[in-house]
Amino acid sequence: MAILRIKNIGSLFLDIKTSFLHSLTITLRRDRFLLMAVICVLPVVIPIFVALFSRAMFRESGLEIFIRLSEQVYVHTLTPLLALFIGLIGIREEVDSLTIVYLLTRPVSKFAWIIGRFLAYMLISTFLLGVGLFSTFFACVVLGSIYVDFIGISMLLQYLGVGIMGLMGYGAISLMLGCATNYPIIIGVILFFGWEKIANVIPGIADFWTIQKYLDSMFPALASQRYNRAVMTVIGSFQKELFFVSPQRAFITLIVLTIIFLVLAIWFVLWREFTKDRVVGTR
Amino acid sequence: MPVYSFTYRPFEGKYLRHFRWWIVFLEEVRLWNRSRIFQILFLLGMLQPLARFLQILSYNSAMQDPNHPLAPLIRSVTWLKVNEELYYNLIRLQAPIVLLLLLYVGAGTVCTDRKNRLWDIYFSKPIHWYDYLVGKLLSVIFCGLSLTFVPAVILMFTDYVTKKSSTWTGLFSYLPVMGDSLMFSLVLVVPSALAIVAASSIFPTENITVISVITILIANTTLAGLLSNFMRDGNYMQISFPVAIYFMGQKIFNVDRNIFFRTADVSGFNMFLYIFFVSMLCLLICIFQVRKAERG
Amino acid sequence: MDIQIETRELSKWFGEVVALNNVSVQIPSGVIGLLGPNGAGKSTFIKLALGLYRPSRGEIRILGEKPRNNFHTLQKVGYCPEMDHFVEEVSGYEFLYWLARYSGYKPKVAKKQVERAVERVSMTERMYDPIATYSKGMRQRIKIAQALLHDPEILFLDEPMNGLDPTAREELFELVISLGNEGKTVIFSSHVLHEVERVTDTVILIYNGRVLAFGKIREIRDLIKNHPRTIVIETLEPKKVYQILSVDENITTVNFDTQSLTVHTLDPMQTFKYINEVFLDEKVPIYSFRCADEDLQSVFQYLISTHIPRGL
Repeated sequence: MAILRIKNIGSLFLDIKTSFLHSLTITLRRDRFLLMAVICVLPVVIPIFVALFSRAMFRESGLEIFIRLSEQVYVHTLTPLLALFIGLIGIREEVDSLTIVYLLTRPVSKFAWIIGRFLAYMLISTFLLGVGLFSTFFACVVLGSIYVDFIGISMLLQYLGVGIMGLMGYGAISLMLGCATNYPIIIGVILFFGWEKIANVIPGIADFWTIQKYLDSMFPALASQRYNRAVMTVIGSFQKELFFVSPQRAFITLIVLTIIFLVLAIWFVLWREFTKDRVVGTR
Repeated sequence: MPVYSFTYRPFEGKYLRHFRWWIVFLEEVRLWNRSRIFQILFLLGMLQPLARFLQILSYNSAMQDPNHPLAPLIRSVTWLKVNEELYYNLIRLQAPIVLLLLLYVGAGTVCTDRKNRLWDIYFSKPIHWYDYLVGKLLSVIFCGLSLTFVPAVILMFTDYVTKKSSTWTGLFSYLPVMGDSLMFSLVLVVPSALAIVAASSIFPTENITVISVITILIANTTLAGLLSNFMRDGNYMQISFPVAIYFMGQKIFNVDRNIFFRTADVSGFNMFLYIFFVSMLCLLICIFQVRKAERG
Repeated sequence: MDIQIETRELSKWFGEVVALNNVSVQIPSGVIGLLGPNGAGKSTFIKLALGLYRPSRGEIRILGEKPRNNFHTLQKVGYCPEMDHFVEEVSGYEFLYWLARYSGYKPKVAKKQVERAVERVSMTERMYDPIATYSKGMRQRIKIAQALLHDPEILFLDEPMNGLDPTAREELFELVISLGNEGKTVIFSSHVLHEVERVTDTVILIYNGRVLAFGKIREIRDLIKNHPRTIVIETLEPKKVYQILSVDENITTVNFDTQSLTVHTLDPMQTFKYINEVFLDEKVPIYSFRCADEDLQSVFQYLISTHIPRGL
């Protein structure tokens, strides 16, 4: 089987390193990296804005704001966006620009190519997520009830850890979509911002087929218990019954899902023909 | 060496002096209307108008036939009523599919030409940057209106025809709602088209264009939602561009049935200025990029 | 004879379009011309040989191994694609550097390999400029340089002369010939017979996805010599010309037009001589006469009519 046909461990690592460094140098100079960097630190303005302009008598504390920003913005919104923006595009821009033909005719293992790309995406995205989370944390400290102490920092690191797990899961799916389909962005958006959101509110166990379910399970215990998901419709409202998964099981599940989707991505690269010439002027 | 006055047969037809953008428009429409994905998305977009069509038929027949078995039910359900709000809801609920379709159609308008080096070909013809840009923009706007304003007009005509008491002068009573529908459709479609074409002129590929537009929309809406939540003030929702468009729609149709925000407290003029400013910014980006391309 | 590329009943189709049909060839080392008009299947053949495409039927082996997803084979082949796509904002040097790294070289060696390849295509002066600023010819040279980076045993050049000026063409001809002299196999694809003739005397003729002929150009020319050639004579008196020419035994058929006539002859040189001699004496006004089927298309037409039964 081609996927197992590896040269030797030394050259495999060299290939992974090359793919990783190449992806890193290309992505860091792209406009999209700057756009994502701005978006990742944008939530910092919220605690600052609340501190300066909120006239509410019982305004939210720094702790509450940090938890909500970490969960709703960083983990639920920015991790899938980073996966699509950095991970998927990292693969896709080579396919779209047809420069992939130069890579496919090099003696580089496809396994190493995908893994190198994935590692570069993980490093860049973790950096952006980390910078965003740290700055938000320190901005929230200004509002009180959260401090730069052992408890505060460990909570911050826990959210960063959950974010990294999200980047892994969403990233592997994005890479697979980028290798498998011609419209990966549309499918990715429908999957991450359509299916994931719907499955986590409709009754039943559909949410087990989402990444968000496992990420929610790894949030600090008190934070996850605040959830009270409900859907309000014109006919009535119904509440989502939550089936909890332990953090350990969620962690293992995400690792397994990441491996499965990465293997699928590699298989698609091996199986597909990326070089079909397109007629100029067609979409 | 002999020099000939005519070395080839001169063009005997008439050159287009005006409306050169029409060629760009036609070319663009020709490109996307053959695509299977476009056809599927368009058909999906026609599902709601089809449902509304059935709604109008059943409501009008029930209202005019007291012996209709479903008449009491249809009369008692308020959201089945055929009034101005039907057209507001039609256009409002079309927004997600319109955005998806506009992204599909508009994301490649400029970046694909750049990628395939078609700019050299376009601008070697008697086409100016404004013909090119107007053609591209109008094709995207046309696509958006075909799922919003056009079905609304067809539904108005259906309503007029299925009402037994209709006289031909009754047609004029639809003019205000037709105007409102056009305004709301334009408020929804034009800024979206401008934003997508602007992104397409900046970013290198369709995929990057689509994800950039979606990222900006999501970031913008999330920020607005969180701000309004933390500040306990629904007005902050206006920062969200999609919400601002919905608010404008409510103002145009004079509807105030929002669960979470009170549109009555919001200044329509401010919202219009916000949408106008963003649209102009996008238009400037488009002009700057396309003029740069024309100059080479 | 060492076989470098071997195909057995190799076919490739895209939907209902047959790009390559039942090709069985054994290609030895040396410079080989892959000759055929646009859309004949040359690029498809090369992409199958590189493993970029999966065969729809049959098989292809490069140096005895199947090429698809096989980096042992890819280590020994280089490819200059026909299409013109690059990461535009990087420099030629950077583009080549990363490709050298993908070929398995460590940074210092990769740098040396890039410098060597760039020198071979005379691009040393401009190698640090962004690719977006390169002319068509320069882009073509960079494509050739990337194919030479890892010193491959087999080189596939897909229409490499596209966009090159006469000087660059001469340089590339020299390069291909020198690569052949170094013992490498070069598959040189083109639709221009003269280009192929400059670098090799061995060609594979492809037309409509089929291999029509494989051998020395001389043999193919001899083959063509045996079939009637077409000469078009432009004159105001075609009937009179016909009367004069009818005595030539080499002429098989003659077709009239208002101001010209088309003659099919078995020995064109003899017929040309005859036209010159007779018409100078007869004083019939002739504006021009030319051989109408000396181009590649006529070669293909002839081979199709003799090798492929009608209806196929």
